[in-house]
Amino acid sequence: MRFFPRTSVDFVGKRYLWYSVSASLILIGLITVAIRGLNYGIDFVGGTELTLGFTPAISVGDVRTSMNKIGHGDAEIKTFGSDNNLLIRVKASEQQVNTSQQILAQLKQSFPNTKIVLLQDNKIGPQIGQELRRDAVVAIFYSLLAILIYVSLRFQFIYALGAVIALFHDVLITIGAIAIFGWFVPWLNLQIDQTMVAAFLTLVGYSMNDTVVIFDRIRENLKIYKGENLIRVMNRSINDTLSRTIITSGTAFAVLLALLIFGGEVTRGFAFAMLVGVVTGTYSSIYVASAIVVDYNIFIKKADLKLGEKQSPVLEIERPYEVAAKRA
Amino acid sequence: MRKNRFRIILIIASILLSGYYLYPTYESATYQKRLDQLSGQSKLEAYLNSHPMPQLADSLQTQYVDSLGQVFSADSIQYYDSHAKEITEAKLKRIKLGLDLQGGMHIVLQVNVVKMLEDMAKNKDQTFDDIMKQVQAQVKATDADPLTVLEQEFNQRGIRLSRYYGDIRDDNSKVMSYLSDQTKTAVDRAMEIVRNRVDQYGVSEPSIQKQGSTRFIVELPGVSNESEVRELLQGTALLEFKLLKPEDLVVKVFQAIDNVLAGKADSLSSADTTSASDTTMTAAEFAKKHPFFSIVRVNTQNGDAYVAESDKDQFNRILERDDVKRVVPSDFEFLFSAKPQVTAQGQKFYGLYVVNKTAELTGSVVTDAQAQIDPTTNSPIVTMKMNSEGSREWAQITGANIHKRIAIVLDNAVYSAPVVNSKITGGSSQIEGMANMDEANLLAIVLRAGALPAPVDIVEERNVGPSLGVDSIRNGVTSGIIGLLLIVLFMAFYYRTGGVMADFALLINIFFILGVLAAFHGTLTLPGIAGMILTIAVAVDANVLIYERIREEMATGKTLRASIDLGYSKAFTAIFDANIISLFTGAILYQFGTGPVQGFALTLMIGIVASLFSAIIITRVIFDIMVERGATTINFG
Repeated sequence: MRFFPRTSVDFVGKRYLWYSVSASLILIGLITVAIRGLNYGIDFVGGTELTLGFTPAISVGDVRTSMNKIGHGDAEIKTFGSDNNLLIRVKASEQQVNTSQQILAQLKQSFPNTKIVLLQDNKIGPQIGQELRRDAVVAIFYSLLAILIYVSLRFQFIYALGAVIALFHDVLITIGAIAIFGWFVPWLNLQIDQTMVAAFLTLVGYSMNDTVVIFDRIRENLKIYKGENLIRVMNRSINDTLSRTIITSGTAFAVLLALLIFGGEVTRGFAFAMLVGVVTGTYSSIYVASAIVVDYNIFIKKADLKLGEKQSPVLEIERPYEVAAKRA
Repeated sequence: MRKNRFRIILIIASILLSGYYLYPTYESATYQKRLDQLSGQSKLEAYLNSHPMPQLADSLQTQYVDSLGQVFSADSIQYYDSHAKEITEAKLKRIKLGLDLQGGMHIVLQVNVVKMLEDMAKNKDQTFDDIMKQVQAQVKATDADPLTVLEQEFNQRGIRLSRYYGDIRDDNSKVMSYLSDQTKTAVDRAMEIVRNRVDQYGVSEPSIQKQGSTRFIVELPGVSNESEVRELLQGTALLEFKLLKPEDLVVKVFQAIDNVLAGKADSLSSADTTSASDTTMTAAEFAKKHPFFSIVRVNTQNGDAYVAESDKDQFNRILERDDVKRVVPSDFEFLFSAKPQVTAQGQKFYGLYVVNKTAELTGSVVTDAQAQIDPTTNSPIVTMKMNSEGSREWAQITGANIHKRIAIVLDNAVYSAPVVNSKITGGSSQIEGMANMDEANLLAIVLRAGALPAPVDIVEERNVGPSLGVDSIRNGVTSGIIGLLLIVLFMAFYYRTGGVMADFALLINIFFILGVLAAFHGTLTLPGIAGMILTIAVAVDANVLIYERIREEMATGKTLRASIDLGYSKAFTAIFDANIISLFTGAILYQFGTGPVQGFALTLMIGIVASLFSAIIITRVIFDIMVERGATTINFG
């Protein structure tokens, strides 16, 4: 059985259309971020966050009224998973008071006929939040650097650059999607926390996976079809791997969807970011990473790809170490 | 067949090894199940449902239920006691669940250096308070090193540090080096105090780790009482010197307890020592005849007593019994050593010390303690200095107890019990007999911990209630199984025989991941489960790549064998490059993440390696064998 018999879609030819689609998506995302801001988790801003289970359920308004009495009326209160569970977030305060215990005691006093169970309780000092934020940025930077170096060694620098730009593209679109969905679908509880950063790094790895498979085929086809122009070789390679690309993305998507639906509240943000990442990662391998390599050859190397049946020497893709070995 | 022999051996060995590492996890779960079955809770509920509650006052009603609970839980306690060793061992080797799955507290503590400098000063006055306020403000604003700021403040005002610290004749640099030494070791002292208390609090599998130079992380699985934990972590440490009871008296009391337990008349004189050395008795007979001495092992040579780690709970319960309390003199106190001795078989034994309930002296008189190497004997020693008031009392105490032992007790755990060789005047004592420098360092830390403050702040606290953990496990497992089913069905449907082989490899892969996790003593967290689900998704990618290649090759009319060979070899570079990069990001994530995120990174990395092995090697061997057996077609869909 085959979903995709031999295809010959001109992927590379339509790249400018898709460049503008990508640019608009990123722009929309960034505008949303600029307007709404990103919802940072307690990991990164510090403060107290507790999740309580109420039987029977109590409305957010009633809880807020009760918390107002102890000066926490400005707390962020929302449902968590089911209506019975509420997540309460209070900003970091200077003095070391036991905020969560205080809140729990107050609520127990206000609602004596309700059984209140502490599900989760996190307290992060502002200093720690700052450090975790810095670590997250450093981690993402290092992984991009590692990818840049490894892909440069295995392919060529321009391929590595294309891949890393594609990764930026994926992360930006995912952040935009988090901002937009966080705005319109608040029950998803999307926030930028440590788990979300883990999702970013994982989607970077996943997207790279996809890009490398296509690059590998380009590398191989360039050797087989020596003399053919790069656009054709690229299109051929993307078409060759298309079946695999769709199947792997499809299985990953299905599994992540299962995690999003059945995985519960805690991993929801992770599953959401990865779902977006799988889609953009698959797309960007074709329309960003590969397309950038083509445009580099057209605009920087001034290679005439449309007409030249004869291959220009710059297009020959060789791994630097192989070149070095040949020279030696 | 021959060329695959090595691979087959490798595969079988990996499966067996995974099984070996996973067995304790299975064992532990079985024990837990049995304990839950025996546990009184369910039986108590059943009883209460089927029997009407007697008409009692409210307070009596709770008492009634409590005592019923005790009756019903007797079975599980008995089962635990008789299997204590096996249960503890299985627990030690099983895959640990992260705090987010089993519930518990994760706390990051930071030594408050400014507060510590404040506490250490003597002759504090208005000027000093002003200086400290300045230091506090500046440290907060600039995140500078408190000690440097302190020195600057003193220099600016032209005040010598020795006005508040150290000896009055000391110059600034000497005081500074003293203070810097104390701040550097403060985190060690605070950690030791906390470790000691946590051990005694009875948390199973606590973890205490240093993080950077001023912080440490405490993880307490299954604990949810925040106020109790705060008390535990932030209370002031109590160091005491307590006199050991004479050995002959201790042995007599032990025998009396033994007699009570064995059901004999509780008389101090009816000591039955002959049968204790009777070698013909089996362990079970001995335990029946001498229930106490089967728990407390007494070294007949020097009178030292030991209790196995797994027997500690039982020992404590024995001491709680009213009939036992009656034969134990009221000024007797039973204390355990802080650190266990480990036998060659890996069993842990704690020293049992019987001491005077009233302390001879408290540790607040200790001014300093240092671990050193004695130049004459070349063995580690600890020197301890006391203030003048302490020195006077110490001289009296040591003078009156020559050749007796004095236990050094921190928060009710004995760190050392040296023999007094002579009367110590002048306040400077020397403690010998440490096995190595580590032990000496530990003792010095403990001696200073009682005297020098190491105030800690809680800078991060994460508390997961047990019910959320149970929910998380269920959700994680449900979504994992659904995801797995989706993939398994799709692969079998799309790639037919090849897909079934890939599915088989996938299942073995999951087994491998868990096995490696158990072997590395890794922790399974909720993001870790998410990582495994993701691994499942990506693991089939290698097979998809290979099968697509095989289909391509077969389409060009090559033979099955050639197609398989080419499919595997051509797909390999792509699989390799792609997975190396995923491994990079996993490693970076592990480096920068904390707790649950690290668990995710770990399962991701293990998953990548395991899935490469199973997707490439296992499926290949199967196809090779099929081809060798004469298969001319294998259905790849």
